[in-house]
Amino acid sequence: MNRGYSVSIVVFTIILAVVYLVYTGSYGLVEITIALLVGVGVSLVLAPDLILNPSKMSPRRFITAIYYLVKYFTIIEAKAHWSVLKLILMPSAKYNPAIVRIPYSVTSDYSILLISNSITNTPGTVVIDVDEKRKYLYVHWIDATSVEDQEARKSVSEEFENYAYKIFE
Amino acid sequence: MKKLEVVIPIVIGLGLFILLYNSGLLSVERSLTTLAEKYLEYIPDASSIYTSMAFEVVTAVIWDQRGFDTYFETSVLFFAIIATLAIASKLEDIIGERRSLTIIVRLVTRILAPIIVVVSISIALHGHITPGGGFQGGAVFVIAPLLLMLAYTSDWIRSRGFTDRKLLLLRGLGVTLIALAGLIPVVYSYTTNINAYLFQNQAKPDSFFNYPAYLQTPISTILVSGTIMLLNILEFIAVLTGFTLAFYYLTREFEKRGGGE
Repeated sequence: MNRGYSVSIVVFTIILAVVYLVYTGSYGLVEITIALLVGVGVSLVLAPDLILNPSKMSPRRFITAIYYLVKYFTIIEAKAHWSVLKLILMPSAKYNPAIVRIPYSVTSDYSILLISNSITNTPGTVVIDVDEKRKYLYVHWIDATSVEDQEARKSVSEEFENYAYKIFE
Repeated sequence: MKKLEVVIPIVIGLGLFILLYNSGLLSVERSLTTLAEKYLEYIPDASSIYTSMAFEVVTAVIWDQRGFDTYFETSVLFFAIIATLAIASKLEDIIGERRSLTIIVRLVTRILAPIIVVVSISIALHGHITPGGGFQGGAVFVIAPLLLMLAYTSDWIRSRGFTDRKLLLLRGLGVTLIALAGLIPVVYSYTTNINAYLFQNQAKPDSFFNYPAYLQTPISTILVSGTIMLLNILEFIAVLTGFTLAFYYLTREFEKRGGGE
């Protein structure tokens, strides 16, 4: 068992212990001990499924991930909500719904998940299928400005993909 | 039609109001039943002999009742599992090929599984002080293996070394130990000639057999509420293995039907 792997297990243990403590809602010494034990046990059984490449674990990626999460749930979400809100409230709004094919170039499973969940979670766009062999996402877009692959990628997923590169690739 | 849409909710609302008003449920001056009064008065009071040391009235039933409750609810499930196993054992042991789900579903399942497991353990371990317990914890736990089996076929569970024989063994062990824990006071009663009842947990006016509420450890004291924490842990194991087994066989069967897709 190499060092990167052990570090990953420790990180998972801490995350799971925090989940346990937050769910339990009490933070005594006994509770923290139980939380850590539970965290270690569960990590040893289930974390091997989640650690795909331990050597990629680095604080910079963590900080980028947190930065992305904050930015995503505030600025990006607000913009997307606003554009859909306009479509809903303006009686004269013209819809142009379409299913577009968006290519992606990332390779890690986590990157694909980050991109597709980012797309789905913003209002207006929903990922309906992934073609892992040919590397395409099929996205339903409420107001498609372009049905051409690269153009669609630019307005739907380019920003997410850039962050996916920084965090997971 | 438009009129009906207004009239129907008003009629239903009026009907409900009249019903609630007449049954006295809307009145502010409602009195408690005598049993409820006793519960509220004695159970949070640590100096009382009837106390269960619980902070929430929901869980503040006397410990003995909970022992019985634990044993019978787990027995019901035990028989249900036996029936499932009897049916499943007649079927052929082939795992059909399935069209795999997208990477999104597979990865999210893997991320959620450890979180579900951690939460279920918390529910099981705090059954004696908050709503929850072994049964509820086990029922929450089983969502994790079920999701993993649906995403990765039923083979997943066996590839991790959790064979059906091992799960069945744990299941049987859990139920047996719960029954044995309930028998301890009876054995004690026979050997010492002191009055004690099946699944007794707290002292009674005619019997002073009492499990300790707190467990002393080098770090600090843990509230275990007699045997309740132990029963919750045992039942957690019994329920999670039982449900996992049942879902394992059902998923396998489902795969066989959908096989060759």
